[in-house]
Amino acid sequence: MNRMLYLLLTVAFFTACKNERSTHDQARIVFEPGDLQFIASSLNPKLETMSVLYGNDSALQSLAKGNHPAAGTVMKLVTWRYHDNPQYFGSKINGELLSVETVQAGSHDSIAYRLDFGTLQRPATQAERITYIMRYKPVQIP
Amino acid sequence: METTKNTQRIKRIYIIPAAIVAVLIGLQLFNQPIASKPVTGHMDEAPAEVLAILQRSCYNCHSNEQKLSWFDQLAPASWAVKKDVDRAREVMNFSEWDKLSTGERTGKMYAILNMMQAGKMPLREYLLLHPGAKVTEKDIEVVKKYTLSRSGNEAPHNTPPATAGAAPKTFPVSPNGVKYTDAFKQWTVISMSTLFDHSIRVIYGNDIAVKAVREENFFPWPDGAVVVKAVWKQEEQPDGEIRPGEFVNAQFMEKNAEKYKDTEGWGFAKFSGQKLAPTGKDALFAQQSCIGCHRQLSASTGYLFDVPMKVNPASLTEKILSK
Repeated sequence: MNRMLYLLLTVAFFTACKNERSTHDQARIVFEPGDLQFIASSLNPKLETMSVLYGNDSALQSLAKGNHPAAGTVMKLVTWRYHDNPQYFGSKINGELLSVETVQAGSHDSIAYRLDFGTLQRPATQAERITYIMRYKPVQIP
Repeated sequence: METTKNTQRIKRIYIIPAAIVAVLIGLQLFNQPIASKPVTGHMDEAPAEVLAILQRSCYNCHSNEQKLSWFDQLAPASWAVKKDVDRAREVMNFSEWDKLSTGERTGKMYAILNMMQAGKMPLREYLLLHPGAKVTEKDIEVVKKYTLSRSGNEAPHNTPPATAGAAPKTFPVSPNGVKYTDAFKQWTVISMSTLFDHSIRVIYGNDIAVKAVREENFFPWPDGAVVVKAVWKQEEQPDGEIRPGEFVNAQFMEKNAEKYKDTEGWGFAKFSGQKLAPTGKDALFAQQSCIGCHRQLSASTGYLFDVPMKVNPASLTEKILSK
């Protein structure tokens, strides 16, 4: 009986692996936003990307109220390519990391933009990216 | 002398099968029949070709209308059959299809399709003795076409939001003991996903869970790992981009091998709407509506569906961590 069970488990194990692609030198990445917290997310069907916006308290408040960000506000937009979920047909999940952008508010209403990692999927000026990032609204959770 | 020896040998040859037959007959005394239950309503909405596949390949376990072979009804095989049928009916019952909402039906169809595509259903051991139940590539295409035609309906994990109202002052507890906590809002986002039901999701993990993902410590996941999936309705922007809109629910998975033995060590919970109403009348709900799919389809990641894909260069982890 035990042997049968092991056999079935082995079969189940290899079947389960069939869905995953070859994973040599590949890793499961979890983005580490440091002191920033999750604020909002988005999905772009045309570009097949998903993004997460992180920020500090000041970012959360200015985005919630639609105010100009106070000095010291930091936001990071992290964008990923999305794929069909290999484990569940009908679901999509983020895959390759594409870009990390940072927006930082300084004194005298100045706002700095920096592309920390990767490339943008559609060319845009810094001003356009700042406007785009500042349009995010914090998600609602009771 | 020689004749006596031969007789003894013949006696010994017969005694073994006779004993086996006697034991088998004895076992039948402990043969518990499968509980007979009424048919309350069938899946009338599906096309005949879909129904034919389901009746041929699924009904023998997932219904109240078993057509069992004689060998299925003999102990000890019948014990395994009874266990399978009981579990199958718990998860999905085609004879009680009327008890499901439209959204739940769509969710079940996706579950059926996923199980068939992954080769998980019908069960391999069942197919050994019931080869006629095998589903072909063509069968899967038929089921897929019908399932996709249902999209747009509500989802499996999508309880309609509870009536509007203020968030509860004390946090709710799921019938299996999983407690809601809003601490997850400060946790790390491990992934994002969408589902056919037009929902958008963000999956948070506590420190133990994040460490487990990075180290691929899935067999088993460490006790204390908690993963929370927040689900919203998709809201389309004028430029076509999709953002989270109305909050639908928060789905918890909490690892405690000892406490949640029946569900592979995971405590499942779902808290819906503004009132965060917990799902389930009793602790059995997770066995009936969660673990079935998780067990069969996400075993390779320790029973979690939305673990980040392994598609980024390992060197990137260092870069991201150092920023």
